[in-house]
Amino acid sequence: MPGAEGETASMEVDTFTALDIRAEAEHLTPVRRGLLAWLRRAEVSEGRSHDITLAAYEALANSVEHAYGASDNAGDEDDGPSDVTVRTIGLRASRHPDSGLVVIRVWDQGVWDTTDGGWLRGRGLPLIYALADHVAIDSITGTTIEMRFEGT
Amino acid sequence: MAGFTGHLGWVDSASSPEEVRLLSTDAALPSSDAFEVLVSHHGTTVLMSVSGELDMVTAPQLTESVDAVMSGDPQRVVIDLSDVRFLASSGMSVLLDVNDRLSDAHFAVIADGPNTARPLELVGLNGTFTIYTTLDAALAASASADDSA
Repeated sequence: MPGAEGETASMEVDTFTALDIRAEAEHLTPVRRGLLAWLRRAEVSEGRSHDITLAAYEALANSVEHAYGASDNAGDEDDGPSDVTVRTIGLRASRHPDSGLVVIRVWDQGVWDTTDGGWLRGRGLPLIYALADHVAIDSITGTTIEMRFEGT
Repeated sequence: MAGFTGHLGWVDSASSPEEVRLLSTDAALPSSDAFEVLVSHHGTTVLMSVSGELDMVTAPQLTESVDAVMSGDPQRVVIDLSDVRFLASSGMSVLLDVNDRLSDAHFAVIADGPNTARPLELVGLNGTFTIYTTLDAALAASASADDSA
């Protein structure tokens, strides 16, 4: 395909998507394993696959810990009427087959807690910044983190 | 089973959490999920051999084992991560906690390779406690510390 710079047909990009992941630790494990299997199928090297999976997992874990926190008291109202919403996280991974660029996007509806006890205390975010080639965080509505891994 | 076609790991937007969970069984990965902590004694060193995936789910289990070990007032603790396939920051926090509870000289970790040593080094924890690459090296260091004591 000579000439066409920039966006190529999206159907040529391999994707892995997990929507409506419940924001609980146990629900992150199958997503992480699925992502790792997807990267291996795309023949991304073992080391890179592990890096990408770890970064994605840390982003998901941040959503569980810092966006939604421990919601032990969610059931204050005895009957827990319909306003009790299930807190969920989304993850989308894509890999461009030519450039090998992997983009991982993780989003939630919460606001990451950056105060004490928040992410600075943990090592999740430093780990993400160390693993990915480029990181962008958008907290306008909810929080979206995008991590890029070049030339996988 | 709708929602997971296998070749691209696609989970469609209508997937329930149950369908997402299928990924763990469908994915071509070893299914030895068991997380284990074995505790053994080598001279004055308490060795905790961890196997499995050390993440948000299993980190509390390691903390429990650490609490049990610490209640015995050990002189030296070595945590062996040689059989850990995945190490998340939640697991690193447990290691840091042990390090804080013991003095620096009395805590070491065994880790090697991309799954464990690399993430520890990326966040600089190799400057906080000693990381050995093999069990033999860690125990030899413990033994020589015993001899000079």
